[in-house]
Amino acid sequence: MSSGLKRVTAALIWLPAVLAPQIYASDHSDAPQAAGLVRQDANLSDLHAFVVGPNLVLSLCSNVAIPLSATSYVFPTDVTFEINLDVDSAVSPADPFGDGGTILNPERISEDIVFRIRFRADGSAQVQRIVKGTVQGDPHLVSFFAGLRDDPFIRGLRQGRNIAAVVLEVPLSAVLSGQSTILIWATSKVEDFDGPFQDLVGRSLRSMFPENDALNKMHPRQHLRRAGARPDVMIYNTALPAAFPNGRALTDDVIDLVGDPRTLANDAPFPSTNDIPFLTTFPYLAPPHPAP
Amino acid sequence: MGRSAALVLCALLVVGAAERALAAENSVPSSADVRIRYYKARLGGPGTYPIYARLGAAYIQKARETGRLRYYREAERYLLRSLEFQPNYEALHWLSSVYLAQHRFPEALQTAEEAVQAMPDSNTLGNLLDAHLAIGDIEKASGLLARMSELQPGFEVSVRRANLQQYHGDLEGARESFLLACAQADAHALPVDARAWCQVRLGSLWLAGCDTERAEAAYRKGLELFPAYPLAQEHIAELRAAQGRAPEAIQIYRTLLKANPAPEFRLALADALELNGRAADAARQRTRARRDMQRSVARGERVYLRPLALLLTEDKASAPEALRLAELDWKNRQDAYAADTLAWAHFANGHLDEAQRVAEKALSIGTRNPTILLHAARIYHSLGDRERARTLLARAAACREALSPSERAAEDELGAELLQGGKR
Repeated sequence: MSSGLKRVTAALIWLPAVLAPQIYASDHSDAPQAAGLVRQDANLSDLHAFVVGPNLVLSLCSNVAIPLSATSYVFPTDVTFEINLDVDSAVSPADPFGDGGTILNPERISEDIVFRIRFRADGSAQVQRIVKGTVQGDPHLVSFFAGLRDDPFIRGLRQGRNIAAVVLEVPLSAVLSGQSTILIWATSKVEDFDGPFQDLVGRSLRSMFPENDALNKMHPRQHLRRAGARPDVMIYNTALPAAFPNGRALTDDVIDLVGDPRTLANDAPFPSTNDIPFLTTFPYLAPPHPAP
Repeated sequence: MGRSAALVLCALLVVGAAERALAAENSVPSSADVRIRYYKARLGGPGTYPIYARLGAAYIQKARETGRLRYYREAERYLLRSLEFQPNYEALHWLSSVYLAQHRFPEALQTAEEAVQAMPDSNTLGNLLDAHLAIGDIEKASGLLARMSELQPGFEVSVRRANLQQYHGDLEGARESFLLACAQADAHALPVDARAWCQVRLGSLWLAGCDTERAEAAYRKGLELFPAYPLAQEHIAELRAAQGRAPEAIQIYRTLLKANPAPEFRLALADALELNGRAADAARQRTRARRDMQRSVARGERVYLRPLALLLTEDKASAPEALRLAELDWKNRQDAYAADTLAWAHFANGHLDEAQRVAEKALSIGTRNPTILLHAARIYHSLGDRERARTLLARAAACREALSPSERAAEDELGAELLQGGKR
């Protein structure tokens, strides 16, 4: 047997060390993440306000990224949610921009009633009412709910999805102060290593768009002066039925009502009602979808 | 000195060395260290699940910065705790990153799918793409790339495009994509570890294209961005070995090993020692690397399945074990590299027909990976198909600078054997 043939035969049986492959090269092809993730648990998605009987109902939704496997919801302890009401700003019924009216002195918007909601480590809620002198009544909580619900946003992409909801019911008479129109907006705030995060929601489909992103970090009274934008607040004349843009009822299909092509484009299958019927009693939002 | 006293002294020395190593590692707190401290101080009950998730992410950053796998285990621990408290998208996404890094691809795929269902953004889609690429489902990976491009073009998309191009052997396309990715990373001032990582990957593609100057420049830029970045140092060492500058490579690998005694560094050191004519030292390093990898595999970890399988093919007695590990690796991921490992293990066990069948799977993607090509060339040579062996060998040796010392030796040896039968 020639020496060359010997080598070939040997290679069939076991491999010479010299053929050791480049086995040490570390596998580092996993791409690093470009940037930190937004705190979805502090990201506000919807604000609804409507009247049921003698009470004003305020519903604030957050966290559009709840996994389908979640069957309950624990609110984070480090996020502060606030629902703010300005009960005495002058509002004209003229509504050239579909905001539900025109705020006559945008730079004088101020919160007369604040519902500050925080959660303890065991998941229980702590609701603090901050009421300014102009408010005569006692806007105490008639009902309170915090937990997992079906996402009330009537949008194709959100069908079958759940949301973290906070719903308050307060006596309307205790909120009003000489006029039937109120301004409503909500914020969330959380401190983080990378800096504070703040979100704001007022009128539907405003500060969710990139051109209005800056509004999230300002008080509504600063929106006009600092960002040249109409204040992102919900205008609600409680003497009239809640129907977007006057307040916001759960059944309002704001995607169609606002008609922004960016949201219309991916609304398939273009629902006009919620995927689960809303409740007629508190907390009004539909129960959550079960885990698949 | 009594035996117990000697043991105590020995233990103290080991502990002392470990503490010194840890102190050296922690002497300058990295941004990951500061982040870890910040989140640890805020941990609490179920309502702090976002903090647990972010602490997990900080440990991923630490693992990436240091190359130490143990930080991925820490990350996993905190992320699982976060998910126990509340299923959440952030923890799911980062857990899929951990599983990808740990080469637990079926778990990575499942977790990434869940994260995408929760929030289909460029982060979650990117991890899902990586998982599909790892298990060899190129069609799904390509589909996800298209979806990501439509959603939000940028760094995440460019990097995935490059990985897919490289997988298919389109090194030039991959290089262009990485050039774009690095420019995007700079333009958006991404974290330094991401920018440095991008430069190192770009450098490795320059090297694959035989441009050692640009490769070195990219590695150096990675080090400028992130001084003492182990990944950049490792690639410079690899380049030095490929340039035949073994003493420099040895020095870098020894420095890396001091901070992180990873088996892959030890194997690379062995290769460089071999190149420097220090066969006995090389053998010692290989034995130790083999032992460390065997321990890792015995713990159920999968990161070293493939390198250990390939290492064991060197030894006749270990060939059956190499095949067993290669089959486990194939079960874990079905990409071209797993096919190559399995083919090579079959070859080591004398299963030539099976080796050829599996090697064809590895070659079918159009790869230009020299290891895969060299293995296939050897398999075809043994089957008597000299023409195919020559073609594959020529493709493997298209850029000698991109070959490791052992690959060069293998290429030389096979080339010499083929020469005996005629012109190369």
